[in-house]
Amino acid sequence: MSHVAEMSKSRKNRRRSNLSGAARFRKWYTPYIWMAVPGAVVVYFYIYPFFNTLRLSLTNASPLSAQGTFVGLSNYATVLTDDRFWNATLNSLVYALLAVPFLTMLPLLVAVLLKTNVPGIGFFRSIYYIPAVSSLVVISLAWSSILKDNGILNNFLTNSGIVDNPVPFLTGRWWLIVSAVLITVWQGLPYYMIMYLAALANVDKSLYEAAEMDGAGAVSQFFHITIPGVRLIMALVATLTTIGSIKIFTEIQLLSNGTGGIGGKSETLTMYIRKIGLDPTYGSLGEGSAAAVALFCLTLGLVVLQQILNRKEA
Amino acid sequence: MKLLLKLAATATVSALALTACGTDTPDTSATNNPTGAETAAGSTIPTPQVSCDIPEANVDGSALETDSVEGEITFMTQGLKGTFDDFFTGLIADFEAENAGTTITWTDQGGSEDFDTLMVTQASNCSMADVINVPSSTMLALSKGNFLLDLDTKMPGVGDKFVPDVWNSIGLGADGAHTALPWYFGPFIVTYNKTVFENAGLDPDAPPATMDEYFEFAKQVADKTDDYAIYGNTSWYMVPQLRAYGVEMMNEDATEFTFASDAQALKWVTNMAELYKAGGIPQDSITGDLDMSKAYGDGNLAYGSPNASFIRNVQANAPAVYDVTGAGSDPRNEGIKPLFNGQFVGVSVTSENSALAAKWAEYLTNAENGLAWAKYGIDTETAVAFPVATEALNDPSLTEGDATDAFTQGRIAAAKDAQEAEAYLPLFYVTGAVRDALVNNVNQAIVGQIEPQAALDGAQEEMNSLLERLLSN
Repeated sequence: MSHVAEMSKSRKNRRRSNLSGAARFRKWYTPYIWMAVPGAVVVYFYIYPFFNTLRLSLTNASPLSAQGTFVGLSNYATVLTDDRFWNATLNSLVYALLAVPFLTMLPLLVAVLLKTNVPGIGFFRSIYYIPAVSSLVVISLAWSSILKDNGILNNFLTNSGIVDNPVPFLTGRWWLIVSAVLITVWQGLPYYMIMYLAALANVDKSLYEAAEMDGAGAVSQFFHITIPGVRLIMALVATLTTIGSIKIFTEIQLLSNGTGGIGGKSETLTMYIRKIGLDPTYGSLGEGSAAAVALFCLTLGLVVLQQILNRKEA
Repeated sequence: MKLLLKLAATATVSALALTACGTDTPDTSATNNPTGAETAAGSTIPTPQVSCDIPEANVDGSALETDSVEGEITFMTQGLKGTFDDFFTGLIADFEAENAGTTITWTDQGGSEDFDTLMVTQASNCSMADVINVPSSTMLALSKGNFLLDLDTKMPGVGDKFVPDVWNSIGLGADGAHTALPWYFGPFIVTYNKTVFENAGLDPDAPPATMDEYFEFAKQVADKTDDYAIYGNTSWYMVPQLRAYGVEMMNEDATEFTFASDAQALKWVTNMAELYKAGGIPQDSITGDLDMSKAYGDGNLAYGSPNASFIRNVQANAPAVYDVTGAGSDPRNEGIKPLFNGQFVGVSVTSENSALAAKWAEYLTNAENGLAWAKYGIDTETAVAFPVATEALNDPSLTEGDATDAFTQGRIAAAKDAQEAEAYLPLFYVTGAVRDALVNNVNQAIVGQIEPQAALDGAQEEMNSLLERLLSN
């Protein structure tokens, strides 16, 4: 056996000896085989649609003529000079500005209240989680019935003399958005609460004991121990809720019966994209795709901004 | 910031628009062919953009040979399975017996908000049934996309049996070609709560006959009672009401909306705004559910749905209100005909067995089966639907009956109007985004956010912009 062959064999043995168990017998391509199916799924359902959206945004494709021809950036010009687009962007941003703080802080507060291990706490945690596993469609329709002019809430407000006339929860431009935020928070709170409960379990209890011995109250402990202890999860929740909020669709769609409120003034970006892009007769896939790309940029921008702010605070 | 973005976008776009100008866009202006589709050699029938091969026989210049047919086809109805199974299974069995070796497979697709989108998608990827039953909005979309068989070429003379005022107005394909057969329809009627009428000092047995009376009665209800007069979501019957008022929605060749300068249109919007201000319209009904059954069932709304079949819902869900419900002909001003707004049957241009499909479509819509279908609805009290074949529509049995209850009153009123009905092209075009543009603008005027004339002007501008895209893209 030549010296080179011996060296090679020795190297192979060394490499093998670094692995353990079944991994020692795997071929080099084994991981790629495992990755093939999920990789194909990701490419087909995520990567391809993304680049196809980019391509469509540069064409005059429509639902009736899906191929389209190249039109440069004219779809972007149309969308960016459309007042409805800016109105929808404003609505989506206002929605996010209202929903994200509530969805980031309220679940934490509830989690702090529910973290104590007292008898029966599991039952209460389960009860709180029910909205998260309920259908958003059913929830929205139920809330719609509560919020309408002659619904339970308005009857209470008018009968108790708090207001003279019913509050236009479903028809007022901003009230409709506030109502949608209410539903989102009501449904999303328990989901994020569970994430916070997991994070709170990892906060060192001795820190609370030490703080208590130093005379720190509950509020002080919350701000100086709890929040720093769950900061990473808070950042994650804020990011997830921001992405979800910018894409808000179902709540406002159902509360307004698809109208986007009177004059469509409360429609959000996703509703706008659906209306201009997918209308089978008058829709423009090009413009819809351009608006979708704008929504992507907006979401990405907000997430990046959040990351920068988080780093500065850290 | 917004201005800067707009300027930046416009500048970039101006540069790239030059590149776009150089692209090879087919000239379709001469054929009124909205998708810019190509035509088969030796034929003027445009072909659609689909993901499969289109049989040559479906787009060439010759008529289909339907004397002897065989094979299988699929037939899709919209929301009929479950209620009308007996009728259709019998009809299919009869056809298959008359045409040995044929099989019709019946499927059904429930109506939904996304029905038009679904059908266009199915047509594009060649999964649409061979014979389809669709409403006018879907027919417009499929016709403009050239997804349906050109009936004038492939089935010459097939429209002769239909009411001329309907058939002559529904050529929505390229160059005005017919692409679907009118199947059944139910003219609008007026339904009203007699108790609310009485409370307002109105004659409970005299429904409004004209649009002026309609609003006059509504104002009286708003002024003299705590009840409501009109449900606020008018999106699906705003155009028929405007037409009943005598408004011309579009120019004659249906290439432009022209209603904004019509004094009657202004009058309609102004009346609605005044009623809203007077408390005659439930505030949240402006964006409420399209189906007003529940609101009417509460018993404090004067006018119910103009759809005769709606009365059956009231009977099932609010029997006490049904007992005091009256029905009559749809109010309309002098010289205005009742509107045809119904269901159509089309044949897919990608059908592999278009001869059988065409023969089945013709069989389904002929006078005999059209009349049988209408009578089935009457006898089983499941629907108020009338055929479009002249011979069937003139059958005296459709207008007979003892009008002691609201359902029969409504059915007889609708039957009488059906015999005078005409197809009104703007009804086909006011759909989807165009309808949203109209409703969104008008709703703002109704609640007092903008002036009625500004609403009409804004709506017309938006609608024409969308129409222009459809006709010239």
